[in-house]
Amino acid sequence: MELNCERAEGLLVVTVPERRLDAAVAIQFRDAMRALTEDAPARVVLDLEAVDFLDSSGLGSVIGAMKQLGQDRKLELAALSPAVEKVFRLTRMDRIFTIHRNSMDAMKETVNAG
Amino acid sequence: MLADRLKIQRDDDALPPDPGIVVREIRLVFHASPIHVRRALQCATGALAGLELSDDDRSSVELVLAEVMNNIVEHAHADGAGEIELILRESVDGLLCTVRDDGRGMPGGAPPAQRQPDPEVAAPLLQEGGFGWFLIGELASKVSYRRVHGRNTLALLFAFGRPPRPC
Repeated sequence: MELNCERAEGLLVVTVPERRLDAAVAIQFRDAMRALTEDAPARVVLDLEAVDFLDSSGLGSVIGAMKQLGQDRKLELAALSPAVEKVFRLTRMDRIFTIHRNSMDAMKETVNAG
Repeated sequence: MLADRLKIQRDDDALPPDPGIVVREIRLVFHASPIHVRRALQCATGALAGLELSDDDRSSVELVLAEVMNNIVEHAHADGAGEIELILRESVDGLLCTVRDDGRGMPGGAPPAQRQPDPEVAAPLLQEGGFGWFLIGELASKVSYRRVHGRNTLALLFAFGRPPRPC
């Protein structure tokens, strides 16, 4: 799966250019995330703005991507559509991620922190 | 009662909508593979457009059907061969979805018990699977499973807030 990424200071923003993050692409997504984030900075923001459907396989692959980052780096989420947000909320997995309104907000946080 | 209509989306849309013709049921049969599940879902949710559901209700139906059919691909038809049949039907109780396959039966003859996912565990121990049946149980109004003559049938009702009829 092709993922787009943009680097800022201390931050990597990964954008998923797919409308569906589901069982058909979950493994490819996880593999692509592993390759992209091998030397990622402390914060990785996953921008899901284009994604309007996420199933439990997609959810598992996002959690897998977070675990791949290890303890010293953090996966954050941005721009969840209502349908995607619902999956995180019902499974209570919204509690393990910092969720931003959009990736711009996430980047501003870096500037403010710096 | 649903005053709404399932709608068949046509590529060419050669026929104008005709209120004299009503689609009450759609039936899709497709190969049990992740990509065909995806296409069948898109077709089914396209048909749901005629029901005038809220976005929230429509996305719940799509999610539950995805979970059910992904389970069939992953478990019942783990050998990679087989078909899934999906029927959506309007009923007085809501939207009735029937999903059939001729793959392996559910272990123990029943859907697995639902477990509330736990976000409080240490990160390396967080679950990456096992969300499917939890979501199905949260979002479908009624779920029933039976296996007859080597065929699995899962019936799902979405009442969309309608009160159940007295028995």
